[in-house]
Amino acid sequence: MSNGLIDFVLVSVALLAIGIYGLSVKRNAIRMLFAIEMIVNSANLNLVAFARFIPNSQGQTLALFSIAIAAAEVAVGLALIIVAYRMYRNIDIADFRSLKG
Amino acid sequence: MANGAQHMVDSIFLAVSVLTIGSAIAALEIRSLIYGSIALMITLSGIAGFFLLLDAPFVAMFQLSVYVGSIAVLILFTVMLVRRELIFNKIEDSRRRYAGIGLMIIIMLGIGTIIIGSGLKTMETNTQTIDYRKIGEDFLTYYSPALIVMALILSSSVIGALALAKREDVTNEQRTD
Amino acid sequence: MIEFTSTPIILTILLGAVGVILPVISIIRKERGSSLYGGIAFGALIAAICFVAYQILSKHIMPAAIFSKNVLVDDTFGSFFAIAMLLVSIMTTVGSFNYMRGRSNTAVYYSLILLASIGMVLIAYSTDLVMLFVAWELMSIPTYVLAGFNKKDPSSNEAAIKYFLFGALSSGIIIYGISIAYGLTGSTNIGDVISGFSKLGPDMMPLALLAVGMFIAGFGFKIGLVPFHMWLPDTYEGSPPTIAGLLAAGTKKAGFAAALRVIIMGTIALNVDWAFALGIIAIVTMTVGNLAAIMQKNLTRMLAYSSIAHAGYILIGLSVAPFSQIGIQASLFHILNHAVMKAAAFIAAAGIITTLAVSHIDKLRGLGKRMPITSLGLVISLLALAGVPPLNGFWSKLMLFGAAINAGSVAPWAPYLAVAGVLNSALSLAYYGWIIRKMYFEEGESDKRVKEPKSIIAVMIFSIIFMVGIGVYPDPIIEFAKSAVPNLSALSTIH
Repeated sequence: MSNGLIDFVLVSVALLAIGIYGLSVKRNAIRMLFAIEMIVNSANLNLVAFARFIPNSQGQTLALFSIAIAAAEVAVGLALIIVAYRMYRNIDIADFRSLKG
Repeated sequence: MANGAQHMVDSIFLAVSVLTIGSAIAALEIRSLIYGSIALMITLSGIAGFFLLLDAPFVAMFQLSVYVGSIAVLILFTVMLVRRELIFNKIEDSRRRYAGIGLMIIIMLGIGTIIIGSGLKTMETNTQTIDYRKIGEDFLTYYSPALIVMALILSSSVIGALALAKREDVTNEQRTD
Repeated sequence: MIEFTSTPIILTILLGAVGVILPVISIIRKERGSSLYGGIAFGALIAAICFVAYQILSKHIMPAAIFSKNVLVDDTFGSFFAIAMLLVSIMTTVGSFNYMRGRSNTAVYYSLILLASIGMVLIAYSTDLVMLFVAWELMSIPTYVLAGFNKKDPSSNEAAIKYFLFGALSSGIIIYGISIAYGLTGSTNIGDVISGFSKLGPDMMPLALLAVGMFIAGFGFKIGLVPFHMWLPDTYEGSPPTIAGLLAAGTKKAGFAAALRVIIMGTIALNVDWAFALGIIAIVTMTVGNLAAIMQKNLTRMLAYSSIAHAGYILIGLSVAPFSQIGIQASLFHILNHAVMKAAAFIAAAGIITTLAVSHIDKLRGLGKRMPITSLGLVISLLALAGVPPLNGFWSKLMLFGAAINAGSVAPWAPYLAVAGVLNSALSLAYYGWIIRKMYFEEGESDKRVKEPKSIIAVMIFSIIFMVGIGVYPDPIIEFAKSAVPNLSALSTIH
């Protein structure tokens, strides 16, 4: 290992910032899902990096939990998006106008 | 470690970083959602590459099989189900966009300075890598209640997603008012 | 490893088994819209709450603890929240009998309520960040589906998508916070994290603060703290009204359980003036919630804003926790009260929406004559929410404001929290009173009494007894809340 912990953490921060940018700018439900996956992945990268440098196995275990949970979350999210698409023929949440505010 | 090998690792790290960050930006900015989801796949594989660099092959394989193999493919299929012109549809408010870029830079600089200023930069390691058998042991002893709950999460997501995605207008047995 | 016979494990196995079996039965039976599944779910929840009550009364559980060597701890703090959450789940289940009649996927609906209640209960029992996160997701994922359960209704779907996107963002932020906390201390056990935090050098301190900030943001999304509340009114208005009750009374309170387990302990260990920041958030949250609630014309949307305001009241107790003995006790008492009051109000709204198909406040004219029992339940819960004596909401608000004034000797800013709280309660009485005037003192289009659903009547009668009963004789619940407060002085020994 020649790379310090800080290199990995900085990459993870960059990915977190890109994810938050995507969530705040994009109005397409699928692209917002992309952004959320990036945030979760940046956290996982952090966890595995810390687990390597501490060193201790709990970070890797939590990363495994988090990956599996992300799969469950995405399945539900995509099902909701498909229901929305059937109703509106659209996936742009800016065009969902049934609720105001 | 020899000096040459050290440069090797550094250049691999750099390449994986550029690939991951670049494709993450591409996933959000490419006009077509299909190429966007392929770019997301590359980002996720890049993260798996980092896991390999961090000597966590087990997590890397899990990442590849679950994230790249199922989540990204699921997203790709959903994108393909959607009408064709929507894939390229891109309405964006330019003011919102500049605000978003500003927020991104604030987060990067803010958290970045906290991290660079902290004691993390002196952390180096020469210790042994973690044995993946230790992870299995964790799962079955300390984290065993969490594993039960994990099973319930997966079943609830399957039950819920099935109930949502089931089409009722096809069978048309029931009327809602 | 935690014992197999401890309360959280038994609750998980009992409710989880019933929750997974219900959809399987529905596949075998192929009968639609049956009330059988609701009955089974109700039975399981009653068994669960009786078990928790038995464990508390027979003193088989530990006194409230902050730490444990395991991922779960079987203590009174967890049991207090278990009682509150299971009460909300039972009220939601019974309130849904009528709402779900004739709809499809009944078995899935009740099964998801059961699974979400396991998540809510386990959050309160967790003493490990991994367990907390996993339980948090078990609470969230079924409620994403439940919010969008009306597949034919665009607003239900939009509510669910908004809820899903913000919920997924909040869990992403929470896991990022966990990753930093783990990186700084090398453990995911909350006790180890806190003792690790208290030993940090000054160069690591900003990172620890960042982690606590991320926890506040992540939990704040579910709790509905301003400025993380923008999704909440839309979601509560659009989702089925019974589920809005579960979200407002259940998941929001579970968010407070998580906040108490993590943030408060973290702030005390870090020894910084986070309490002041929480106090400011509390004032802003209740003011924004109440001001927005005044302007609403829709009953469920108004209740949604009022639940934001109540998150602010509860936060008063948390922010004065380091300075006042009764801060957390008052918060816990208000959490239990608000869970019942809010669930009752939303289920009354669900009854009105399903029988009369109105949710606009102007259309509630003359409701007192058309649906007398539902109206009475709604009125009592609104008065309790406003904090009118002698209802239960009065005592818990009194305790909260008392704690804030009590803390004034140590923290000079604390009494202002009480002033803001009293002013806000007066403000809230204005819009609650407006609804009550519409229902009882204005003539409606017809005076004809409509048939009220039996299940709604049952929930209303239970909650009226609860609210008036505790209002008249609050001592046992106050004692119970006191026993559920973790011993904070144990924290100072790690320093």
